[in-house]
Amino acid sequence: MIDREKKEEIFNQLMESFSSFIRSHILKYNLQRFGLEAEDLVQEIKLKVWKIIDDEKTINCPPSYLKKVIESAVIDQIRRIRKEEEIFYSERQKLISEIEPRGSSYNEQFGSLKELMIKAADRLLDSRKTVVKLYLLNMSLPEISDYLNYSQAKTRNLLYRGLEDLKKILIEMGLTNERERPKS
Amino acid sequence: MKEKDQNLKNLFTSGLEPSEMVSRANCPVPEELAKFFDPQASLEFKSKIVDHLFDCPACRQEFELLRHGERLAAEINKQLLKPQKSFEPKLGSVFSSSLFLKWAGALVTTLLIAFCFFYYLNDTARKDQQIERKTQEIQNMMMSEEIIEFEPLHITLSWQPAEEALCYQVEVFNQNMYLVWQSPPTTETSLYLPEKIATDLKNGSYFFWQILIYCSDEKVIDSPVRKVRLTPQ
Repeated sequence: MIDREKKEEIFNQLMESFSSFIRSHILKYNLQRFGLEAEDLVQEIKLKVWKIIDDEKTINCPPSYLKKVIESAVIDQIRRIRKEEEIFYSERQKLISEIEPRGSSYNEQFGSLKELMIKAADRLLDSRKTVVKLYLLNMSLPEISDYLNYSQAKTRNLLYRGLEDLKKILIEMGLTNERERPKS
Repeated sequence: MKEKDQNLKNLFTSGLEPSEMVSRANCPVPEELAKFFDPQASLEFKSKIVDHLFDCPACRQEFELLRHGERLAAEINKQLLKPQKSFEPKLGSVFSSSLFLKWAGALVTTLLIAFCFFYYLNDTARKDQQIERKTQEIQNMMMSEEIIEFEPLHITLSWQPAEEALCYQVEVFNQNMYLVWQSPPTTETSLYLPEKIATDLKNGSYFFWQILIYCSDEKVIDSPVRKVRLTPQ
């Protein structure tokens, strides 16, 4: 049985790590332009979650309640971002249409590498495709196994085979093996 | 994981971050993105979400937020909350607990007592009905006597056979209602009164007789008492 002080210490460590991620995420994607403040989200989650931990006995199923509380706090923030983003986007489109009547060329800015990777990944076998895509989305092997309800051995097998196939497809499509850059 | 595979991942992630905004009209709603982490969600649904994430940097960054939220919940659950027992062990512990065994024992005993009580009541009622039926039959039993008025006096007593009767016993009473003779048990349905008893009865103007019917269920049923008049000498 962990005493309250120890609980608080562990909780603060976990929240500090989460808070660091949120701060770096906001900076990375420049989300402050949509009004997202790391401290708002972290404080909200911190208050609600500590209540669950401290008052565990009165809650019917603390793990699922905890998951729901964090999830809904994050979803609220995502909704807020999307709302701001939509306003920002429509204003921007209006400006672009005024300056460049032929429309935006934002799609072109992602370049041929993005299209190449997406096309190559889409050519993989269905069973391998999802595992490879999750890996490329920066997920770890245990995470992928957990989310897809696969054993780690099965996930590893699908991933290795999928990555081998992906490399072959990319070479076929013109991406060199050495530098992994398109030839042209 | 090989270095080359890691490079492929880095190449992908660095090459896909958005510098421009796109319309989110076709994006899954945040709840759908969150559903990816639901263990009950189908693989088909998850694949669909992954396909979209691969193509949509904006959703990818939201997905990252949700994913870290999930991680935080998992870590808090692992480190700070008490492990939740699943239903099966709970059920097991209930069945193996002494309290449950006591309750189960008490319930079984109560049910057994109730069953015995109702069985006894039912059986008694059934037996009572049978006896009543037999008694009714015996009350309507045909009884007759034949008297030959010569010296010595001959009295023959006869009766209709009773259903389920094992044997009969006849009792004869004088006019003062004293028992004067009791026959040995017999399976016959008629008998002669001993000469001495018949002679003694002749002193009175009438006598009584009755049959005791021994049934298979150890019951003895009395027939009606029949009064027989004798012709005075």
